[in-house]
Amino acid sequence: MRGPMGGLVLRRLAGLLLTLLAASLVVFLVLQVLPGDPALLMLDTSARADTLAALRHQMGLDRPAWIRYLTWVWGLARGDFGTSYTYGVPVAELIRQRVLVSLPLAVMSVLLSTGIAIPVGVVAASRRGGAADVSLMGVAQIGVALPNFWLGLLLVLLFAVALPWFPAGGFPGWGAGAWPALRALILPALALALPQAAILSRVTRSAVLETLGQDYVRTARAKGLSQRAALWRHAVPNALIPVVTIIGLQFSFLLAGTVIIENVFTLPGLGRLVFQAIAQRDLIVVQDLVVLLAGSVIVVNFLVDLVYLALDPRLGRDGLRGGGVR
Amino acid sequence: MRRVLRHRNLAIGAALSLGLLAMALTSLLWTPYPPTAIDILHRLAAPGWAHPLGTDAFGRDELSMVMAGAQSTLSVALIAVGVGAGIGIPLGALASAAGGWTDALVMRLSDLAFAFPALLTAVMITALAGPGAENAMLAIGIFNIPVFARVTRGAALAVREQDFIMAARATGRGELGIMRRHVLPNISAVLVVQITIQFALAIIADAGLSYVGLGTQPPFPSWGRMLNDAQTYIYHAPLLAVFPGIAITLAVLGLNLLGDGLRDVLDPRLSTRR
Repeated sequence: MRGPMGGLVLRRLAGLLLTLLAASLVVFLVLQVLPGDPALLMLDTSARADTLAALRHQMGLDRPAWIRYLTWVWGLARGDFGTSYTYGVPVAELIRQRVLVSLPLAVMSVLLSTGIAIPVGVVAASRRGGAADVSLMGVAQIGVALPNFWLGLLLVLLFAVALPWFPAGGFPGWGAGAWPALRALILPALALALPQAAILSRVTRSAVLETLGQDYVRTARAKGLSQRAALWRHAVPNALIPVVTIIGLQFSFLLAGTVIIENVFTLPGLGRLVFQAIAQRDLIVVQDLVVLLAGSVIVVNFLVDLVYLALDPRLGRDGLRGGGVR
Repeated sequence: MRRVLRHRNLAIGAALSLGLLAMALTSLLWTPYPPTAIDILHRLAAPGWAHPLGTDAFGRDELSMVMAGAQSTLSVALIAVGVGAGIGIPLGALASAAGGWTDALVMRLSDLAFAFPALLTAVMITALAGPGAENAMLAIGIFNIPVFARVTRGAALAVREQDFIMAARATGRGELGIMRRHVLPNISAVLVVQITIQFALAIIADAGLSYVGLGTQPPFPSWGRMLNDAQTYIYHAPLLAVFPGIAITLAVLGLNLLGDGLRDVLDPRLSTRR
């Protein structure tokens, strides 16, 4: 990593750290501004003033905000997420248990979404204007409009109520074996993946259409490559750059989506933890989780930028982040 | 052939969007039953003559609730997008005109906002600030600001490089006048399209928030809430989990088609972008 490329990566890395820091500051400030005193909530409103003061002191809530912020961030930097107010255990421990549900769910959704979208997009592009293209893109148009939590409900109706193939909710834990655990994650992963696949297949289609019109594809055909080989060997690989970007951007949607999907399927993941922590004003857990999720979005986008650079070194300094795509 | 197809999208999108609006407006004046009227004797009734979409666990008429639900969805989405566009468009215009550190600041802040999973943060804000339609509007609106700022800035920068802007400047028109008279009218197509897209996203976000109990509060019906209630009775009255979802999907589909169609009609150069 030398030369302009190495410098670029270093600059990006510095930007990454600054963004993470800014994100933590924003989360902290928002939680300061929003109402809700965790100490008061733990005791309830009838508590005596001196008891409340003592608890606030014990929880460190009586210290100035900037000291609390610095202590928290310094802790985060060392991997210390603090202690949950309500559970009384390290937040890192809570997160570790819940990540084992949310991360496999997110990974399964990305794999499903990519696995569905790329073939669909490529087939649609290669039969542009034909029956396959029109019907696939019609389905995708509807897929984009489906709220994932409702899709989750429909999947429950079909594959848990009408056909009892999968559980309607709950999670047996990985201790029960890989298959029961995976089985509990399949419907929620599908519910998350299908609307994303709809978006991604449209992106893939237009990207492949663009590369199919390029000279090198015509050259490949001219030198005797079959239509199929030209498509898969030349058009598709070159179309992957925008597709990879969208997959990266979708990660953010996906993480937020798990918050609601985990409620649909009562999965004990990070999303449920966020809800419980908010309900109990366990602010340190809320703070940690939001920063963790925002942090993973930032890191994923950083990695996407790197993949981008690796795929197309011409893209040097600017124009990496497309505007307005959410 | 393709243009006809695209215009068909525009027609379907406009029809669905107008239908949604008509449903919300009608429900202000008339619904088959009062949407909050409880009729415990006819709870969980199957669809039939008396109740075309059946009744829920409290015997409330599902059709009336779906109709009234359009009101809350539309008002939340309208205000949320209004907040986003009302702050984001001037910010983006400012960034494009001022350049330099103002531009850099606006762009970095919007980068930062994009790092937060929007729905998760909206959940956090509404849950802590208090569930309800007003906070849902704000929470969704905040995340619309950077989208509009970015789109406006990008489009405005492209317009500002053109000759007629130079000409306007040469005639001594001020920056504000150039922005208002020349730049904004020229990027209005892009903005209108973005507004329909954000409107569709706001409807999905509102449905999600009310599904988890953070949006419009009962007894006033909301589509998300109805789906949550329906989940409890999914074995007894599965259709209750279907109708509100169809309403959401059709509303979002309509706005998406409208946006795609408008993009093609207003600014054909943009049509291949997505």
